[in-house]
Amino acid sequence: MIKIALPKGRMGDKVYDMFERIGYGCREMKEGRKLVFYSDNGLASFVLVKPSDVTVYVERGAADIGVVGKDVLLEYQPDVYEILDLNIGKCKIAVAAPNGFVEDESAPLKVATKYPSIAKRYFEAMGRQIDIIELHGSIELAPLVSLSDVIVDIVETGATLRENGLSVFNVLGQSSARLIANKSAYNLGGENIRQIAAALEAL
Amino acid sequence: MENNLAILSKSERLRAELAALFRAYGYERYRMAKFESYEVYLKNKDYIDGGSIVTFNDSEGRLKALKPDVTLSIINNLPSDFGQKKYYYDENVFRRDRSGNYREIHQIGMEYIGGEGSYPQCEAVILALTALKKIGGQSVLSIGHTDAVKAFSDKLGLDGETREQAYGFISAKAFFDLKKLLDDCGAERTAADALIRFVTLEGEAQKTLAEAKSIAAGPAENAVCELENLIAALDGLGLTDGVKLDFSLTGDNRYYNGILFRGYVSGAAGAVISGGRYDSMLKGMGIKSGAVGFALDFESAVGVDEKPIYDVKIIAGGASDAVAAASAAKYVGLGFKTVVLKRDDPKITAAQTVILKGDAL
Repeated sequence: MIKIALPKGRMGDKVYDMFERIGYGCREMKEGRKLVFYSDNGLASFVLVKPSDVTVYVERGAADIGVVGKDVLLEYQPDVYEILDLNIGKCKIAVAAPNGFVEDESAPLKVATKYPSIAKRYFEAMGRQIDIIELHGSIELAPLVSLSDVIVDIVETGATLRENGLSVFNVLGQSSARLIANKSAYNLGGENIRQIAAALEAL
Repeated sequence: MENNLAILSKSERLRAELAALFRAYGYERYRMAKFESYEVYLKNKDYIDGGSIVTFNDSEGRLKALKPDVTLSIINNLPSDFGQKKYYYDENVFRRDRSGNYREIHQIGMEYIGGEGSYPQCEAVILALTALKKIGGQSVLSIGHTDAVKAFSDKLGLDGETREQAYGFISAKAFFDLKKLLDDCGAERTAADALIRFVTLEGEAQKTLAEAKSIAAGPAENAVCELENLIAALDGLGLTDGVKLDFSLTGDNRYYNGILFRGYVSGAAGAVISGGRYDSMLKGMGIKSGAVGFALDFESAVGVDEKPIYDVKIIAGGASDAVAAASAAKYVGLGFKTVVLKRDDPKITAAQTVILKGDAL
């Protein structure tokens, strides 16, 4: 039985559809309040967890494979294999600021983000001192209420930024959903992992 | 030896067996000082992440490190004109993890420094395979070669940040990202395709060797030949079961050169054994010599419940204490490691289960 960790939320729904199309449907998941679900074909068990926790489940072997955004992988840098780009949940990781923002280079830049590691690495490489303000949601709000100068966040369409008078200043990287695998599970056999990856790739 | 080890707990037994294995191959024990100068670790901050080292100041203001890494300590303390040194160790090292929390890691390992030709690495792999078997459970040793990946990258002219990114993608098996990176940096198509095909190779040793030979040329070919010799030696000892080749194994060329290997055991989430050849690191420290070694993550290894804990498990159920005691005494008398349980517990494993019924023995 292969153990699969999927992220809760919008991306999770899309990923679940993909698993259903390759024969790993799971009626149980649509009903009740269970935490562990078994696929109808009896070959897999699923857990639905917070996106950032998918990396923990897979790295520590509680799940053999999982699906998570590249943004989360860049932030937490787990020791896992990243075996397939699912080409969904595509977005940019970007620095955004209020339209017309002019940086005051004489002081550390105040950066609001839920990606402190990514932000730190990026600004350190530029030699820019920053003050990180770690938030867990509505990052776009921070510069509007003078909590920060800029934000580092994921941008899909840019609509939220535009509606709030913000614009992208720099793109740090691209993100999309990735199929990740536990290194031990992959190396000890892993045939079922490779089969699932091949089936998902062929969709 | 077997009889003496029988009374030990699993972790004690594994420690004793590994020490005996290393000593049998002529390794002497290395004992690390608790506090060392931070300087040597600072100089090699890419080998061991400087941020992960637990540091403090001594009474004279010098920065000290709390046992961060055994390999660097061994190299730093090598006697001058050492010729050949074979050390094993059984030490706790201290690191900070990514979240800044302190971690104590119990490592057992070996270092073979000096020694001519490719024999030392052959011995290191044999010891790693034997150690994996002693841990028990299903296991596999993945072997790769940094020089082969380096040769392909050199041919492509990958340097600096691009090479670092490429190596990151290769070791994560993110071959789609590798392809995109090579496309974006305008790498020559044939050489780029060859690198991608090569690092994708993994699997059973002989088959993977044959595929690797068909792609590798120049320095990469020498690396594949070296692996072929190694596999032949392992084959001669009947050790190729549980060995696979994986050309996505890479390491920082400033430290590693030659073979690299990782050992995995069912029940442990990550690699329990990490090792390889590191002549380059010695060279960086001004020592001209070959070196190979590996470290075993002992806590992960002992977590593997491979063999049954007991020889005999007696499920007493409704039987009287007298009956249970008599049954236990019978099996203990026969030399079996025995446990009596009121109800069965799947976590307590035994080679044989005896269920007592009423008062009948």
